[in-house]
Amino acid sequence: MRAALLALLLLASPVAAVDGPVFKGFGTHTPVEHDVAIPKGMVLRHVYDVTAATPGKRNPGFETAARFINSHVANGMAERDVAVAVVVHGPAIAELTKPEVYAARSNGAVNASEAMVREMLARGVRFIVCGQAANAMGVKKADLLPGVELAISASSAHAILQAQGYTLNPF
Amino acid sequence: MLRAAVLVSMLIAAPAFAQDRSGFGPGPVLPDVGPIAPVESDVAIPKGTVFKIAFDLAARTQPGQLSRQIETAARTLNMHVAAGVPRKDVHIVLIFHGPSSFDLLNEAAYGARNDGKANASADAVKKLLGVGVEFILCGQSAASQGIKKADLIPGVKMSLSAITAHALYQQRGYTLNPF
Repeated sequence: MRAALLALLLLASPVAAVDGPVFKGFGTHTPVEHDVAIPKGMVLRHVYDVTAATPGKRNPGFETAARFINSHVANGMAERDVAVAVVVHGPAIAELTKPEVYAARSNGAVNASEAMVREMLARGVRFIVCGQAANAMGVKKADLLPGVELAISASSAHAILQAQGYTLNPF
Repeated sequence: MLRAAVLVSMLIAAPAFAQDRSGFGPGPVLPDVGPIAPVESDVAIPKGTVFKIAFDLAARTQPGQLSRQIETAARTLNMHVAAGVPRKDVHIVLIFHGPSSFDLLNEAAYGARNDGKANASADAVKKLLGVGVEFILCGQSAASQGIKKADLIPGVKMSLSAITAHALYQQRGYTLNPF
């Protein structure tokens, strides 16, 4: 089974992934001779919805947002013109908590997404946690990594961001 | 082995972050549907914001259970009004297609399709309809499931299709909730 999984991963993974230019070591992208032009002066505001936690590995939902930035900056956009938000509800909230909080709730485990999240926050990516889900999980504001925002709910954050011109990533 | 691995991963993900709704209380619009938790929000709601939110419902609700998404819609209404948004500025539409359609059936139609069981979402649907929330069923899904207008809870509307309803509501400025 492990061999089959490995084969599947190899088939699925990009052949010649490129690192950076904004984030190194995660959010790699594959260069594409693309036909969908990015009009000059365009500003992209894009929001992702993430619920699934991935203990032991970088959260692929978060990483996709980093890839979005890397790939657009690599294709000529200014970093300031690519605004990305990640709305998080459900188990993935755990991966936005401080290391001591994460460890206390996961039998001492290390949050494999922490370094990536901190770096993304430092470059202006918004991580917005559903306040309703956080409450149900017993996660308080002080438990979150510095810079992570709390919203009334994920629905609320999505409605506000879309009304502000963010487009919703459909997957 | 796979099953064991899945079980282990669920156990790792679940226990410490288990759900506890003890911090939730009744909301101001519908006190007995969609309980809410107070939040110190960092995401400001600009003054004058009018919320127009569309929900998409496709999954079947287990008989005897309240649809989680219907409850989410009720919670959305409750918590924004609790946060100071005027009631008239929160507009919600729920668009149903596929197996979720059963949530909208009246007692007789639901019972006939579910061994005489009651529709556990019917009460919430009626209460939400009563406060102006819109419920729309995909006409194509209805046709393929043999559901007629007379089978629906009064007030539920039928559209040509769910796609049509989503397109029309988004053109009117509704944002789509992704879950």
